[in-house]
Amino acid sequence: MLAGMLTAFGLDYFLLVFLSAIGILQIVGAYRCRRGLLFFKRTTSYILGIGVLLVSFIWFFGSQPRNIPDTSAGLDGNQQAILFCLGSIAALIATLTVSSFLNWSVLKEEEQITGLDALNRNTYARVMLKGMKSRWRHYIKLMKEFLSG
Amino acid sequence: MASLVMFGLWFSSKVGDSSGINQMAVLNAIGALAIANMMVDWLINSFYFRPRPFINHEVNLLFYEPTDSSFPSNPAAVSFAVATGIFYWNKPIGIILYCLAVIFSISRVYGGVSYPFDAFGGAMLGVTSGAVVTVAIVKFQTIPQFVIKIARSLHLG
Repeated sequence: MLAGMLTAFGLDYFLLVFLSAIGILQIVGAYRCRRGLLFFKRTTSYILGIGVLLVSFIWFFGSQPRNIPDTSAGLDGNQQAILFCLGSIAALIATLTVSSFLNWSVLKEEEQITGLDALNRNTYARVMLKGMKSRWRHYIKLMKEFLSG
Repeated sequence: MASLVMFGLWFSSKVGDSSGINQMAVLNAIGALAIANMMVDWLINSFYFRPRPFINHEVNLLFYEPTDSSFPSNPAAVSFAVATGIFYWNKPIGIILYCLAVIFSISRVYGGVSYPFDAFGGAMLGVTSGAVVTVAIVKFQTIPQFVIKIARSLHLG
């Protein structure tokens, strides 16, 4: 199954999912004002997201014939599902990494917020670092309490 | 296309909304999709085989020639299962997905790879599995809530 996915068609499909998932994340982030998901300002990210989504589909279906049976060089349903999961996870990691890097000095919300709302005015890297710091402080406090009896 | 909608829906909860309704919709759709796919592939196709329309009729074939059974249409079952799974939690997106599922099912018939009744059977199967999974999720929310809790702790839900 793995060998079947590592074909030119499989890699193209992975790239389609990767790019379109990045586009979707930019559109959703812009729509819900989650600056921690965006690469640029809201309007620019909207346009970028729609552009990436359209270009990825036009490239995939326009560059080569894609009506290929899964019995030859195509992908069956299971392979498509695996590649979709891998592509969307890769897109999520790439989006969070790039947006954290680009917005590191801009977004500095100090308030501790849970869930996706933490990304409204903060970068993912900063939110995770803050969470790890507070957990570390909690463990140190527990340790001190334990050692002092 | 439906998978991309589900991916976007996961991250599109309203600001301040901690109910996790969109995440529940996505988990519901994933469960419905899996059940519909298993029903078609493992259950029905293992004891019933219907040849594709292009085998017995002269059709204007627009897709490649699939080798599996024509009834029920697996793409119709899966797309309707996803739409039904989403519809309970998010009506507007559910309606959009139902429209996509109808277009998708008609395209299978128009493309010459399914009979109309195959698409209809697939749609019924998809709606049924979507409804069953929805009832199960509404009744036993522990597992999806646990998944959402993990996602929330990682700021991804």
